[in-house]
Amino acid sequence: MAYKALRDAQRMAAYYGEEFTSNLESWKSDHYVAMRCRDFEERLAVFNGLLLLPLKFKESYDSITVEDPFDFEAETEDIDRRIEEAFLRLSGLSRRIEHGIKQLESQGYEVENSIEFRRLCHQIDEILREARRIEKIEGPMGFRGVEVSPSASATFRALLGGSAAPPSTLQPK
Amino acid sequence: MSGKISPKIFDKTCSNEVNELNCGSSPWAATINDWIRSEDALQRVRKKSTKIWLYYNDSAQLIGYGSLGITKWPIFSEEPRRPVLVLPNLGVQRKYQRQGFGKLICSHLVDEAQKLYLESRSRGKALLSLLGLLVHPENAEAIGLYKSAGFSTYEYYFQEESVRYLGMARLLNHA
Repeated sequence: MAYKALRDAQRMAAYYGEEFTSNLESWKSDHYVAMRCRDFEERLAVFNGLLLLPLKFKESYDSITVEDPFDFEAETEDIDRRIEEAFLRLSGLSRRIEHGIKQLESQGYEVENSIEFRRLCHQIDEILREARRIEKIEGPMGFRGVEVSPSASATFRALLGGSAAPPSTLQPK
Repeated sequence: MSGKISPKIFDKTCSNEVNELNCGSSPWAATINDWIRSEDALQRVRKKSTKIWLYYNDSAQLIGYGSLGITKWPIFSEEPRRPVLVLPNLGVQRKYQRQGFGKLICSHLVDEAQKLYLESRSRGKALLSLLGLLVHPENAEAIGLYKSAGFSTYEYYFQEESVRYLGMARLLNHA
């Protein structure tokens, strides 16, 4: 009888113990993701702050008005291109971070700071969309990608150096 | 028949005046329509690297626009690029085309380029005495217009997809 009671107690303990261990493992797993999410949120807050910097810089850059009446020294094409490249890199990074947010969301987490992050990403996408539109029309206008053949180069050198008479069509009025 | 045209400097205060601008539906006209409404046009004006004029007829109706810009084309392949004046865009609204307005606008732009060139020289800037432009190879009317304004075609170009834009240039006076 005593043995039977002991065996039943052992069975109950084993059952409870298994359930408890199982719960413990589940809690461990959830806790790990929760902590990862928390860490992610903190890093996202910092990244949002860092994204704001170039966006503010772009805003200031766009509002610049050069004092010179017509700025012949301006290298706006190169600068604009470099700015676009920087935003392109940020956009690539942001896509990877967005993937991380979606993974956490798919596990039922609401990721703090993700709304602000997506708002900033939208601004970057808008900048890149406008840059692509501009790039598409800047070429035909002569601001980008122009090439000069060696023969034309030689002709211009002669004309501008005054060592050759310009053809009638090139002569100023 | 064209009459007089009145130029007005384009900036953000009159950017809404070009909302309805329609220079046609050809590929080159689409570029002309798009650019004047793009952020790029306003930015270039703000940074003073491009000047844009809107042109009006006697009845104060918008005829079209023209522009002058500064860029660095590789005119001399073996040397660093030097700044050169370009005529990025000239557009006449569809309803005013074939009435001589293009010629008037072009003439105004050449005069302005001449003034800008001389001003820059007086300020000691190393600007080439050239006014260049690119034109769509099928835009025969524009090519004819630019030729009549003293431009010649040269082998410099911009290649985009299957289109090889034609380069044109004219000399500017030194004095």
